[in-house]
Amino acid sequence: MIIPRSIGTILASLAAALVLSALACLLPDNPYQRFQLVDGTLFEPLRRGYERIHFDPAPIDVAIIGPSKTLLGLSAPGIEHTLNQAGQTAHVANFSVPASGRNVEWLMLHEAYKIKSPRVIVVGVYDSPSFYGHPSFRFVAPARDLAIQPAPLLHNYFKDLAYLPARQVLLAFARVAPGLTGLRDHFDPATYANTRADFTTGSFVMEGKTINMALTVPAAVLAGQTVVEQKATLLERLTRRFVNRGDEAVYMDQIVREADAHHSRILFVFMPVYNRKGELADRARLMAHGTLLDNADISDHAEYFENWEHLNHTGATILSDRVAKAVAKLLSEPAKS
Amino acid sequence: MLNFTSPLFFVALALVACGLYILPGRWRAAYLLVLSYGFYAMVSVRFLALMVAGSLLAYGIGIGIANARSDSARVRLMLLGVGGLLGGIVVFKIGGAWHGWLLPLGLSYYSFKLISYVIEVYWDEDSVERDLTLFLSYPAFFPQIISGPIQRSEPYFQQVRALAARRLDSAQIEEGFRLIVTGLMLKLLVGDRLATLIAGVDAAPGSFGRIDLLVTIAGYTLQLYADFAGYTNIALGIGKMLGIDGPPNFNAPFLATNIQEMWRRWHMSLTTWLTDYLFIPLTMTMRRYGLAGLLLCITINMALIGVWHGFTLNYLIFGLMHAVYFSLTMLYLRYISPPRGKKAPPEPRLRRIVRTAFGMVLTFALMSSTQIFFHSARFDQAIGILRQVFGLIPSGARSIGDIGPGAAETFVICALITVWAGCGAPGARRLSDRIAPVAPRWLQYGVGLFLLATLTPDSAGSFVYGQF
Repeated sequence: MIIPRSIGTILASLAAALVLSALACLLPDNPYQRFQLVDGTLFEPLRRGYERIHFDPAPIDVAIIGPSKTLLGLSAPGIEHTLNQAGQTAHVANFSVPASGRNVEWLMLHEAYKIKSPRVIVVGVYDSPSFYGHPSFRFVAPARDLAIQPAPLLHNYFKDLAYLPARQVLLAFARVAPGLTGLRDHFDPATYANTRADFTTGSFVMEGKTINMALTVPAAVLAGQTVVEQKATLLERLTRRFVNRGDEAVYMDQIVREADAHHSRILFVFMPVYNRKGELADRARLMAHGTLLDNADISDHAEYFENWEHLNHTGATILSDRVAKAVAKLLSEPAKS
Repeated sequence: MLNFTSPLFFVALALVACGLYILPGRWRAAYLLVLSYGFYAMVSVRFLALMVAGSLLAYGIGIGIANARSDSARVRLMLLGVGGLLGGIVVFKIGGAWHGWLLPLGLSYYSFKLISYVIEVYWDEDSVERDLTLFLSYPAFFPQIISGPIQRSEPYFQQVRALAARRLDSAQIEEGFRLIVTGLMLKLLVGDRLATLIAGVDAAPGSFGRIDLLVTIAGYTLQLYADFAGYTNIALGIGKMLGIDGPPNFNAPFLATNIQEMWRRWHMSLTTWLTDYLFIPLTMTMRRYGLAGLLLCITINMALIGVWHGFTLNYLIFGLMHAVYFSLTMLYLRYISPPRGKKAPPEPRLRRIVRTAFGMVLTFALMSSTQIFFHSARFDQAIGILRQVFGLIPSGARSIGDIGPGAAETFVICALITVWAGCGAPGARRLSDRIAPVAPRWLQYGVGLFLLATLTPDSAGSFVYGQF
């Protein structure tokens, strides 16, 4: 078949664009600038997490990973305090970030192991785990981890990959001219100190909404907010089967593997939502890999919730206390071989 | 709706273009019609019905005029057609301005096409088109539905008829691709970036310094050009891929040395439409009133260009400002031109260069001054900007650079690219040809696509002229 010249030109130009994009993916970047890409967004705790790992000399004995439920529901200073009271000195860092997606949780853990040696990993688990990757993964993950993912056909793979050339061009430019991109190439202690680390107290704005952790919400209001989980359609169920039950399962395996490789113990903390008697997903599998702290009883107490899916300060204090006790037990056990 | 800037749209375009050339010739007009109606139905089936109704009205009126036995019947039919179609525009524009109605996509553009058809048939009965499928595809032709260009009926019908016997034209496909890539670059890499920065100033204009505000006002013109010319390139490129050449809309407008010339180079398909169907008939009617009649015609024409964008005070002022600038330019050119029969003395080269440069800068400044009203959503906003520019209220201390990192640099780069593109639309092609021996076309387009992939803002803005 003879391809008309113009079609050949078009195909060649598409191929050229593809090759240039692939080359752009190979451009070097400064990981610290990568983590600053989420500044000013909901995912800003990731930047602080990176700074905690790489620039804060304090060790990390306990690392917490999870979404907004663990960000608002677990207090690192609170857990540290309880551990200290129990006679155990341990440094706790909460690397949780709003929105669901295990891939970014694994990434933070992976980053932490590069410099620190957490002995216990606290992982928030739920009755309805996310099927998708985290929306911030494409901003902060190294190019290699975006291009080569642990399982084929993960949900956001092509979307993340499509963003990669643009990101690498920006980051390569930022290495040369950090001022023009607003991405610092050096650590700024003042910015670090001014970024909120504990979200279980006070009030703050998240996604344009003011969250007051001191608030106690009437049960009727919470009941009105509750979202009933829709049953998955046949197509969704089939797709989940086809794609390794989703990013959740794939990256949970990665988290477990990473923790095992570094002889850390895992504490799975069930974070229930208000008044939903959902069964914890993959309970047996989780118990095979670590200790499970079941907090289903909290679900009935309206006084513990700031909104239907997040705890308030009272709820966070109670849960942090429970986690501290469970962590203390794990820390006192002999190191995993 | 599939957006003209989304990758999915271009995948669909490649498929439908293949479909067009695979189909037997006699089905191609129907294919274009189905595609166009399908595209429009994705926006609104209700508004599609409105377009079909307008099209059928124009079709029937055209045949009625061609078959009419008396001049008075032809006049009545022509007035009925033009009145009906104009009435539709007026009703929706008033409804949009005063009651917040949703304006049917492309209403002005397809109505103007249909009005031109009715008038053309009135002027020349042989212009009538009796093939209903072919006729219906004319106003609906999807590449031109969002913001034109306003193509005349005869060139369109001729091309679609020729399409039946046409084979895949390699040069036309490549030219279409080039237009699409350059259009996307102008719209996404320049227009949308300028729009983001301008929006940063719009959020609190009072907090910016006077110089920064003046730069932003110049930015209004540049952003409008990048957006509209970018869209036009994409629309013309899509048309070319489907075997239909559309009329040009811009011809290096920033090279215009006066407002009169600028209007011959800016939104050309609208200005030639208004010249042919409004301005010339109006001046013929008013010629007995001499200069006063001419000035009145200019004012009416420009005021209508203004309110065509929307029935708001700001658009009317935009049109009237242009009427004043246009009239003053005309009077000045008359004043300096030599008396009839006499030749102007040769002008020294340096003086000519200085006059031309001054004319281009002044024209751009005048154009930008009207954009204050065009760009502002409300009258008091525009007045507020003017008061600040003239120092009647204190200015703030912020600069464009404060909007975000690299904002000032981005603004300057985008402005320069827009001026370059706006000064040398035909020259851009020459540049492409000139560097072809070093960088073959496929590489040039490839780099363009790569830049689009890497530098396009996260969310593409809608086309400015899509709202009119």
